[in-house]
Amino acid sequence: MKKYFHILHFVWLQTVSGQISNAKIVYNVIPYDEEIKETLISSYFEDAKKDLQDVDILLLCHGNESFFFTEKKMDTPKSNFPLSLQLAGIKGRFYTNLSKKITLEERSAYGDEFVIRYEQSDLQWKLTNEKKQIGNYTCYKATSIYNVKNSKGEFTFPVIAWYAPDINLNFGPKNYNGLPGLIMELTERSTTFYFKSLKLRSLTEKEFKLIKKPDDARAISKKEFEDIGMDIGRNIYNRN
Amino acid sequence: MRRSFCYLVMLLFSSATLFAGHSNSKVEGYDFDCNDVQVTVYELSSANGISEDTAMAIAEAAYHACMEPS
Repeated sequence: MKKYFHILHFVWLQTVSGQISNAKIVYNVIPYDEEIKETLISSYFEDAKKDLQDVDILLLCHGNESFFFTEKKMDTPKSNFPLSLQLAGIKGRFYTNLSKKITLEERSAYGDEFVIRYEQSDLQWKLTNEKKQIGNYTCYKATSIYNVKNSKGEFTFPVIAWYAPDINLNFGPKNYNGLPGLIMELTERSTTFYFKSLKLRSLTEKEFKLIKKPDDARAISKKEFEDIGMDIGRNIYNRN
Repeated sequence: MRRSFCYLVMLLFSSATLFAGHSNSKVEGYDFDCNDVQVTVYELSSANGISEDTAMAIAEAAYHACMEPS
């Protein structure tokens, strides 16, 4: 009897989960929870928390591709919404292609438009057996790191992802992809993306194709982008 | 002659206002001018491992907040 149950469960997984080719996932974000202590900076993170409270961040997946972006929200006179997005690391729009093993981030910076290329091979995941329940899904913990290089040096911060093996979409927020299941929750440094909702098969191929992809030909690496920033910083702030 | 004198006084007054506004605005609790605030916020942000473009964006916001009349 138990054997039949396992077979039925396997067939169900193949038919229901196994064929997920497209989905719309909504996340919410809390930027830098209680980490930055200097009042001159932390006040902006406090404002960002309020600004981004009800903002939906969408992950649209189709086949081997995904888009990750923030739903437009009206800027209120008192808020600085673009800065809030930047503090949460979501000012840009992310496009992932799993076949090409890349993520492209389209974003404005220094008065210009940039396309930054992230190679999936730069992202090393460590899978663990630690698990927790998010919604109806059992999620497993995976860890990684991310680096920031600025005029003060190089910094390394932890990344923690909780992925659901039952949802066989290998995508997640920003450039965090390639886990054996959809990332339901992600903490980068201390900014956390929380799963809000999931709609399977909500997107047609035609609809997905209408979304403009960032121009790969214009893409520069993260290191090149950081070097440009440091040059500009040196010029503005006369740093050597 | 009187008109020229008036222009001169107006020019001096507006320059003084502009100069005062751009260099002497203070943030409550900090004895800096706004340019210093901008640089300090940029330095603090960078030292906290915040990326270069975000550090500059925070510094710029701090400068504008400093310039706003209280």
